[in-house]
Amino acid sequence: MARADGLFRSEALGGGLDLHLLRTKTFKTVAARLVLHADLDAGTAARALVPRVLQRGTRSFPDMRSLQSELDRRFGAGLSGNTGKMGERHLVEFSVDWLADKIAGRGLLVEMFDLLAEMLHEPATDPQGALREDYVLQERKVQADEAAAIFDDKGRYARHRLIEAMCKSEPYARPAIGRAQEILALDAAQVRRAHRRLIDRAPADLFIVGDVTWSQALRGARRLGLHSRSVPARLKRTRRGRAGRVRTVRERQPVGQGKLAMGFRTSVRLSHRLAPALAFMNALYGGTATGKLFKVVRERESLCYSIASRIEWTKGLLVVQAGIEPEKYAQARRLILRQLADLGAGRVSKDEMFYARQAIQHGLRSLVDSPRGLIEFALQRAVNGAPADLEGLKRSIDAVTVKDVTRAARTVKLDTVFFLTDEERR
Amino acid sequence: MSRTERIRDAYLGEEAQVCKLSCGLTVLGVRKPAFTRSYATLATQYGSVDTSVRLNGHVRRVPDGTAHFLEHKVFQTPEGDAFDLFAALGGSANAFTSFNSTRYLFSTSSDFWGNLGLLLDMVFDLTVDEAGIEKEKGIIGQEISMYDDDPDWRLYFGLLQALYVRHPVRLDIAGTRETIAGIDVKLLQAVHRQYYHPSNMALAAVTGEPLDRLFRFVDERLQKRSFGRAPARTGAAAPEPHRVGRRRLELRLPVNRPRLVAGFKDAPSLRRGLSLLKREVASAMALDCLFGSAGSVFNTLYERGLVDEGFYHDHKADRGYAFTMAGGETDDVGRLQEALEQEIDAALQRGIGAADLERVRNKAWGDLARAFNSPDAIAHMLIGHHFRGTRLPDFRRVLDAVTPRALTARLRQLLDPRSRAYCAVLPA
Repeated sequence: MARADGLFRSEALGGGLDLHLLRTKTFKTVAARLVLHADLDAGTAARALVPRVLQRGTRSFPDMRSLQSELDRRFGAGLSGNTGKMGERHLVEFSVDWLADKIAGRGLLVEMFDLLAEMLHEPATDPQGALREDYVLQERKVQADEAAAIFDDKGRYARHRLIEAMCKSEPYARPAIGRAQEILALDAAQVRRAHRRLIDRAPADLFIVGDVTWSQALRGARRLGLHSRSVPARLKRTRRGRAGRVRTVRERQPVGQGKLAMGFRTSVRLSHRLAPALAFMNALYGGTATGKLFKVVRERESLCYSIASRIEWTKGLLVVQAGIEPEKYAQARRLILRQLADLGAGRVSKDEMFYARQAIQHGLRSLVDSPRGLIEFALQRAVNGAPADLEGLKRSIDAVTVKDVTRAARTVKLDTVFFLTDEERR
Repeated sequence: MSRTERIRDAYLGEEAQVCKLSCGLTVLGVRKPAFTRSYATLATQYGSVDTSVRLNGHVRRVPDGTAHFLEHKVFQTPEGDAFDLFAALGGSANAFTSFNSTRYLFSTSSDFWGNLGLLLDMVFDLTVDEAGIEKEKGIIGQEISMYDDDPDWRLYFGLLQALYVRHPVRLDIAGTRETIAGIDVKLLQAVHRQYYHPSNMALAAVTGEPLDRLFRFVDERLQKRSFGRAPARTGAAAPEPHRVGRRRLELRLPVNRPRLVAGFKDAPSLRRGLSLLKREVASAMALDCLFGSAGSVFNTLYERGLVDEGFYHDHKADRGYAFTMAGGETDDVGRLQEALEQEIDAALQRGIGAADLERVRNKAWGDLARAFNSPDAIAHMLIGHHFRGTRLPDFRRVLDAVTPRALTARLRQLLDPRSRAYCAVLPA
């Protein structure tokens, strides 16, 4: 059944494939993304390796250089695989983009979907017809290196360690590429099985944004050969954790700047009545340059350069991150919690409400200027089983009151604090 | 206000308009009603490589990091923090400082004119006081600390320190805690007077609003100010020798993955305009042939397991500097260095053929069009053309005229082994 929620026109094509099209002439390119869904579980590392190996080559373009050269010849078209997670949902994504017919002088849609289909179904194989083992082993190494390199980006590392400690016994703790030891333990047979399972069973969404008609989109989608599959796998729903006693984890490294990451939990989901109020509360807190964290911790107290809060909607987390002088830890932590308490007590000025509302509305209105932003928005709604109703969201943001913000802020509870520092505990 | 010029780009199907105002400011615009957002950037040709200023009749050297420090303080206004003022008008503002330019920008989907007026007032009316400057030193100190812990940033500037002996491109854009300690009101005012003169600046906007109104609006907004005569640029830095400063630099940091980057010092172009654009386009295409995703050198290194997909390359050229770099994470910096040298030497020997040229040309056509997906990218492209002394359609023309011979010649200049240096980051 086709449904339209104002942004995308969507239809289930069978085989667990949903097609979503947003037709627009704004862009010089057409952007498409195929998202394959799975649970974030012990199979994550193998599944994450699949798009890496598939990108190494296809039947017609058996190595990376010939494949990338072909994309260059098609006016620098893009075709790349990636892995991510939303809550405890594991996402294997293939992004495709190409120059719009009008400017390319020819239609590339069919060519591009055929190439994606070849990547999915006819990757480069050994003489026995299996995914090439040399590609699997080499990509296994690259993926394990990627896991090791999280340590090198100290801000990212702090967030990673926070989540690891905070969600210790929950599936969410697993990185979207798997853990280094899991990756290194994989063999070619496991990756081949993960590939088959993804193609045969994974529920899928195909998003297209650009100057494409519905019938062109249907034609492209069908070339992927996913609509004729048998019943897809059933997926689990992300579990919400509850904040208990606050844990603090410190780690010592020879860094110049301390990296503070504070993890909070909230019971508000994307489809919850208070979701717009929580988004609003985050803008007032650390989501914008007019938020309390920026104003107080950075501008008034001069404690940091970077400070921000971000919500992970599917899992129900709010994470505050800041880079501070190691000896300012206690002061920064106290001030960050104080700002949240102020929000919970309704200590919000008219100006703050006005700035936050303007910022959120600008962000929402600007979504339609970015193919990537539109796809991310619709994907997040799809994962959370909420309609991609942008106009409705704008209206509910307009209706948020200080009282709503207060209620939303009170659902946000501190769970775990991680601090990376060069200081001994004082 | 002088005549407006219309510049059509047939390939893109777009039109830019340019108007030079009587105060000296050049205003550029592309009308794009299809976007919900409007975007504008006000840019000055002043960045971290501009290290001198005229103060009390003398030319003196400014502390490292002054351009970036000024960028932060421009957001201080008599009515308070400019971030709040933009937010109140439904805008979102930011700024950045590079080697050769400082740019202030906003995007808005509501009150374009209000935000534009605020941008102009904020940038042209400097409001600084000692207390605000002292407070900013703490914030920027943390920004510097953040970059000090970033291995890729350290690698980048480590290489520049190896390549350059004297030129200020070797200095961190934000300076150090020590150098910014000496910044005060007088200095920022002098720098602002000299480098924020409209004749040294340009404004570019991408909006659904009519462009004739844009030119009129900016002209009227600036008319009540007296900018005086355009100040002369103060002395260029001491001449930079062609040889590299050091062949190799090694840093030890708390990382798991070693990194290596090779750099090549190029002779800076003395000319601007079309000849500079030709050189830039040829440089980018030549490097893409080797180091791009389908590049010969990148693919060989990847297949040999010496680099991953994070391998990158970069080329920058402007006032008194031009350099190329290529590198990434690796298991073994020694083996990567050896392989890079071999593969680059082989590529220089081979030169660039017609098939490779056509491939990267096709890609460049696509990338040019793709930039028009974003108001931000369009605005910065307009500024880039203006500062270089070229126009939008020149790009496609230059691109189409490139020959394999010219590309090969450019490649051999760019990657001359005599002007090569390395920087490595190793686990502590």
